[in-house]
Amino acid sequence: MDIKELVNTFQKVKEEELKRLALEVKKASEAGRLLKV
Amino acid sequence: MDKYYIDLIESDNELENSVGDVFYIQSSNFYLVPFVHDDVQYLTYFTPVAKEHGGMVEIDVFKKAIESNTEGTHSVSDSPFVFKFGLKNKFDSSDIYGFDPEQKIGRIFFTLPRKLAICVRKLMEKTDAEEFYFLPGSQCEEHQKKLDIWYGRFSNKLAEQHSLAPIHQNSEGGWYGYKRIS
Repeated sequence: MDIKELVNTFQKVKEEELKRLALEVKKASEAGRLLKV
Repeated sequence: MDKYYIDLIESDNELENSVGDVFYIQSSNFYLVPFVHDDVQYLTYFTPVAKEHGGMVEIDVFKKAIESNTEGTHSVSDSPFVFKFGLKNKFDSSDIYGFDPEQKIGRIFFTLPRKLAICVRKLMEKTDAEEFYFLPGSQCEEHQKKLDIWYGRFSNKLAEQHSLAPIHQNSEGGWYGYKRIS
């Protein structure tokens, strides 16, 4: 995989990934699983 | 309001007050820092690159691609992170960055990048990360422009102030990386 393919791999799912992460945070917060480091 | 935003006070004079603590979600293995900007709640993330740590690609594949693109000047660490940021809410909307089109330019050029830099600094400190990568892509051209503005600001001034150095100087290619200066 060259750099262009690597960047495309991340870019392709970036916005979906941000939505997924935000939902994970919401669920973890509601379930008390958000751990302060 | 969620408990991890309760103590955040938005202030342009004391930007640290707009940025929260570092949190970890064990089940998905990522770190986050919340912050507020223009009354909008954002989340910044450090997610692992490596597939074996919940990331998207094999670490060897990542290393090879980055190292060949930096002409051997950089050795990728064993646990690099990808930095991301987006809205805390409205994640069902396509407007994941939440930039107000009427937002004053100074707040995009200066205030927002400084808050993001504080988030990065906190994530670097708490994760002991040696480096992180940023891929400022968006399907929306306007969002892309603003992400590039942030990158430019971070690259020019803020990275240095936070003991970080760019991994490669070439701004083309769609990826950016920063490493800790020891």
